Amino acid sequence: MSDETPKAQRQCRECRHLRNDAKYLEAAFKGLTSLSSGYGSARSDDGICLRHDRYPSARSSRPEFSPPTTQVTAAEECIRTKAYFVDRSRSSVRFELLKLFWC
Amino acid sequence: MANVETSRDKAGMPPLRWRELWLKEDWWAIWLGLGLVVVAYILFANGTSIRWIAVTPAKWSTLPQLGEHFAANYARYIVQFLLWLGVFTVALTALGHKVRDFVPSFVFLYVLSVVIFALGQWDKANTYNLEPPLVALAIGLTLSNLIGLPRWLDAGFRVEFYIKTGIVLLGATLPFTLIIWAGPAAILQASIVSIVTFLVIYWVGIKLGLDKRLAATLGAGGAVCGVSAAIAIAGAVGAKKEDAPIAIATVIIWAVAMIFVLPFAAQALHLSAGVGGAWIGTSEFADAAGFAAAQTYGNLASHGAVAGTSDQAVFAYTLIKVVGRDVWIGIWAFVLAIIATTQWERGETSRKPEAAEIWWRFPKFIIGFLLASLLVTLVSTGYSLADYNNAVVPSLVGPIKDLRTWAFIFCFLSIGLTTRFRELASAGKMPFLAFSAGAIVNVIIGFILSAVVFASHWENLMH
Repeated sequence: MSDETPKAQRQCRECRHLRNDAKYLEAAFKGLTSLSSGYGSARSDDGICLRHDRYPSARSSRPEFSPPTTQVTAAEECIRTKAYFVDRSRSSVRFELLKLFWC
Repeated sequence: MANVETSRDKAGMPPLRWRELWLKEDWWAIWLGLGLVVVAYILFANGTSIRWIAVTPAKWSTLPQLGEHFAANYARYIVQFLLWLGVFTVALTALGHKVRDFVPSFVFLYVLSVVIFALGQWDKANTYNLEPPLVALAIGLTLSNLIGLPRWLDAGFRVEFYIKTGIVLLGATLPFTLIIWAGPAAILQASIVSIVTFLVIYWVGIKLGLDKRLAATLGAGGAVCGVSAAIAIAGAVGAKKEDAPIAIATVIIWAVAMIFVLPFAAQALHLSAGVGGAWIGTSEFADAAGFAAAQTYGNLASHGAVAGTSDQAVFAYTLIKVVGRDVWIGIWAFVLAIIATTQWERGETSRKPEAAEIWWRFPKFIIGFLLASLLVTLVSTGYSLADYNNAVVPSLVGPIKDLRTWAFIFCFLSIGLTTRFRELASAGKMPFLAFSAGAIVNVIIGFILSAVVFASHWENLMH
């Protein structure tokens, strides 16, 4: 990651090492669903950093930030995220809802 | 954990912003809970009621009596089941769960809930301490730990979602004026206990050689709202990956034990329902576990084993736990994030804590709880006490309370069904000792504040 990378894109949420999907966290943190959940507001969008083995806020940033593969535009990121959800849901109805309200 | 290092499409997601409204369960609890309350009100305003669908098992003393009840009301149970299945399916599908996993799981959960609810209505149930929350928990723990259930069944055991929905419904049965009247004392009591508990766990943890972030994570778990607080603070301070599971395991062990201990300890100490509920509110860690204990204590009161009413125990608990403790999680996270970034990890991260974190982490379902309370209180203001008891309670508040009871039973059963002690991370001796020190102080201070300092306040709740 070069120093020229815009600061806004250096947040951990954009880093390829961060995993903050609720389902992933519920699988990673055994017992989380017993008295809590990965889908609650209190968790915000924190995730597991596979690079540092930490559990940072998605708004954190580290010098070791690593972009997904190449720089992506906001639109590309949105489409990719949408594809992720559609893939998970396999629901055309939800896809249409996503198209309607997202991007 | 699956190795997904190379799976790009699972990496960090973009900010939720408005999408939080349908991608976080707090908001879905509001939509479902408030939606049910609004429908109940519309029917009530048109001279009818949701009473028919809010069916619950009747009191019984012989099995033929119970059989007659189900024979006469099976259609109501089927429709109620379909209602729950429909609303939960919509919400959980939006959250990304698979319908094909959720439906059979919820069928299992509902059938078992009916059995537990019916057992609790047996006229000898209190003789054998067969309180539904404890029975649900015991059956769930037995099934998950001794017999074992397929992992995919977990799709329907959404503890947190059910309790949040139940809390929003509970708001409709709790007068807003009571929140205004009793809220400040609840906040004061809860704040004293939270701060002292956090400092004790943190201080003991540091003395025992724990990392500051782990000590803070454990401290929040004991001081604020259990597992949810622990992972919130773990994220705010950038804890190590293994810190959160340690805190989760420690909180679960203590919280589950306290569900069984606190109601009977309060009874042995002859605490009234309101005082006992307040004590449970200051001593339990997680909302769901605390509601199981408070509901149990309330049931003891309704059987006459404890002075006061069932509502006093549940309302006192709710005021302390939800209004007094849960609402502060964002502030705890913000303050600890400042300390972490300026003191503990100076130079490691360029993150600047934002005050907006208070809102990001705010348990949004509390908004639904307050709105439900406000709505039903406004509806009730036009009625005399006699009319309220004769019209509003049986047609509006009572059925909502029954639906709330169902949501709570789903939750209590799910706690047991998802708590697999074998799978919990090894908490380690030192973290467990640090947390235990805070838990013991928590119980003692909570007792002094509930049963001595604010005793008359909680004793007279709703008088």
